Amino acid sequence: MPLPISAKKALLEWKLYLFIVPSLFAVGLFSYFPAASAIYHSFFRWSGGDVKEFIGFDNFTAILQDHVFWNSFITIGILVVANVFKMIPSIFLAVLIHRLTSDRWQYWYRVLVVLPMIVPGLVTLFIWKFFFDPNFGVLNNVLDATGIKTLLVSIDGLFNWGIFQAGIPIAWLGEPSLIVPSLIIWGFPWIGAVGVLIFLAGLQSIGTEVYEAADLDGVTPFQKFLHIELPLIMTQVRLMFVLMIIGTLQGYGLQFLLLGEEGGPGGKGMVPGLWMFNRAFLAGEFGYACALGLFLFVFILILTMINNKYVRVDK
Amino acid sequence: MERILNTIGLSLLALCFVISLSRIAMLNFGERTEAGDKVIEIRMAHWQLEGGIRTAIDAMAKEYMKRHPGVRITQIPIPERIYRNWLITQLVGGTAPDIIQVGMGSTDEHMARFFVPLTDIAQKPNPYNKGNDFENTPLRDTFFDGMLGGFNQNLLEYYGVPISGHTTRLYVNLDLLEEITGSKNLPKTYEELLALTKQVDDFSQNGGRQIIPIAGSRYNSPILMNTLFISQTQKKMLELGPPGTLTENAARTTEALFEGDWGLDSHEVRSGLGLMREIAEEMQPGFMQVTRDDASFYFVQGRALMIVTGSWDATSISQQAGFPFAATQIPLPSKQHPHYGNNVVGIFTEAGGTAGMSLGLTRASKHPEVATDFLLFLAGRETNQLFTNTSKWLPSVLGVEPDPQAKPFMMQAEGYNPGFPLVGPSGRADTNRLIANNFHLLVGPSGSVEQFVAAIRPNFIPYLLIDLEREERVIIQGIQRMDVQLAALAEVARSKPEDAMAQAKFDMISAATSARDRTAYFQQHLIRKAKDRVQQDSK
Repeated sequence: MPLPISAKKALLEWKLYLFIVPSLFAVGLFSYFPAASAIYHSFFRWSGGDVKEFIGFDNFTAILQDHVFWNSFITIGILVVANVFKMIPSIFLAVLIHRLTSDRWQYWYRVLVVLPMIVPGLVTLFIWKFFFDPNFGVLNNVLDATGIKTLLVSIDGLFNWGIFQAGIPIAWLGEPSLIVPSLIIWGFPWIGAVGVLIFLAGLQSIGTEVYEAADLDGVTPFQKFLHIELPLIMTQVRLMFVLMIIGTLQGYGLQFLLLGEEGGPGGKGMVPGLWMFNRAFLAGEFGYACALGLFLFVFILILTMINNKYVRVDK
Repeated sequence: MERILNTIGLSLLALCFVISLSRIAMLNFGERTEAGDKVIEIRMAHWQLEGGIRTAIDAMAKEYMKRHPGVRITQIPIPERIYRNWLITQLVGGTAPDIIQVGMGSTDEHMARFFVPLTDIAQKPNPYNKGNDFENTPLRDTFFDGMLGGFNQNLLEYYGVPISGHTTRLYVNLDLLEEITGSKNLPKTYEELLALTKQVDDFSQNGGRQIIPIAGSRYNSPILMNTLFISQTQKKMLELGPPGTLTENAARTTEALFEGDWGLDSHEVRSGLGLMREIAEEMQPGFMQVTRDDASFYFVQGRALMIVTGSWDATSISQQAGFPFAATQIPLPSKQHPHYGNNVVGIFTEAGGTAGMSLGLTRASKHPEVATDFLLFLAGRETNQLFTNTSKWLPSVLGVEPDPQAKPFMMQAEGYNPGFPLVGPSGRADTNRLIANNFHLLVGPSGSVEQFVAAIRPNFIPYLLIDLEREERVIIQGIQRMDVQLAALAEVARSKPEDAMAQAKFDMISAATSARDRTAYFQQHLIRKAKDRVQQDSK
């Protein structure tokens, strides 16, 4: 912790503070002003024009009775839990790259992981959309070719789901019960370049003496992962965890592109962000959408605070 | 060596920076004409990314710039998927282009607040018709629809200049049709269409290629299904009273719904939904998850025999399809159909159709007089001819000869009024969401009409009520906005009785406000009826 200094000393070279003014101005204009505007407009019935009617807390009380909004948290809850598991492949890949003895190969694997980042996210989304195509998509072709489809049809017959039927291609995004599984499958094998690089940075800070000591003690590779590597990259895991929660709760691009503005059949793909978008741009209820955004902000803030308080990393 | 490479890299970076800087400076300080005047830039945004349209707009812009060397027209094509939010953010943010295509995502309030009414210019002759027989004709009378495509029914003002006509058609791959049926005869009735789809199924099952009878998507399928649905409410609409127009009278049909004249259990609605389900079985499984582009690919790649879409897709399809295709009116059940024929009056007239691709002038325009002039240029007969020849789209101006490729899409004037849809105006966000969220129950492999109706029944009227209340708020806000203007004009007219212009403007706005008042009262009447229905249903 830096030592406290007197106000006189702090203001001795006051001109230096001017250097942060442009940054402060930009942050204020582009981050805080829109947020403040959203807070202000959440108290109005406003449809994006210049006419607005002050309605106090009506938008917030309406949120409490908005079953679409609350139901969307069920979907988002499932996606958050799934995303926790979807972090595992990135951790494993980072460990595998870290353990490569050849620096040259380590470099090339890092390049291979980073390369897909060049492909715009939208292109990846479109490719996946094609994978899910019921008639010509890769996913259904693979399931047909491997016989998994037949297995799924048999299981369906046992439990009477009515989802998988012989001779009818699986409508991954057209059948309500398959929407959340499709959103989970999306991105397989779930290796995020940013995640791998962050975990790798954490792994590289582990001293070689730790590994040497472990080798002398006859520790197996898996035990090394469990008792050395994983505990020592928990700071990075926690960072990714927080970013993932925020990203999942705020995000709606995937659902919007794959399922449309209504959240797909049965509204099963409706997430809070998409509902906010729907209210603003389809219903023209911008004031209500601002209130939803504010609600979401508070929710994420509370989750992050809980995470910071209870998900501790003991070094 | 490293030093040389670094120098090259730095030089390249510096060069790019200088080019970018000069470009920005040029845009900000403005280009100059040869005479030294500042070049005026008019930006025009639209969502028509279909083949041919951007080329046509470029051709028209080029022609305009040739006549007006001091003006540069810049086209901004925006994808349909994001148009709605792009438009609103641009309007609210004050960064909207001069000219914007209207009709998607712009509410009445947005129109009144952010767009310039074009009623004045609609009532005067178009200078770009000088020399032809429209020389002295008011602009609005030069369009086949009386410029209704640019008219806002609630605000009672013209807010757009429409430059194209459009119809919806069933497109058929002729080579494939001949291969499957041995002839090139197009289906004329729903019965023939269904028989053709059975032939396609047989063809696929008997060792032929796997062919989809009708390529469906969440964009294309509703066009076909809604057309079939309204064939079943055709007779009912006439029973509800003369609609007064050649299209649906949404207010009247909504009122009739609340009065119990029709509903989810009436046989017309059940028949319409039954037709929708029946035709859905002839599209590829899971079609509601497929987008418009994917469905078009199925058709142009020869994987589907037919597709239903608008005349706006004809150019794109002809550019991509390696086969001849024909376009015909969507076949409806004939009056002789044993199950569906009883509700049908006859083929639909397309005479009630309005012109499309309506272009509005925004208040954010720095050069409204130039932008208005460009709009008038686009609406001139000569320019509209250039438009149809280049884009192959239907023209909107009377007397313009459609391009031969556009002729199969010309509106068929003969026929009867179409019926009414289940939901009505597309702006009814919550009711439309209810339908969209449960549509799989109607068209899914294990769905049925009963399941669909049972799922939407509890919320159908309540959601309609929410939508109506929202519409009413928008109408009231529109009236409130005009009050200030009306009061100011009244004061001017009182203090300066000699100012005939102020008096005329006052009279016009006063008449428009009275009409809006009537609309608001009728909306409140509908809301009361809806509330009564909700109460009745809850008992």
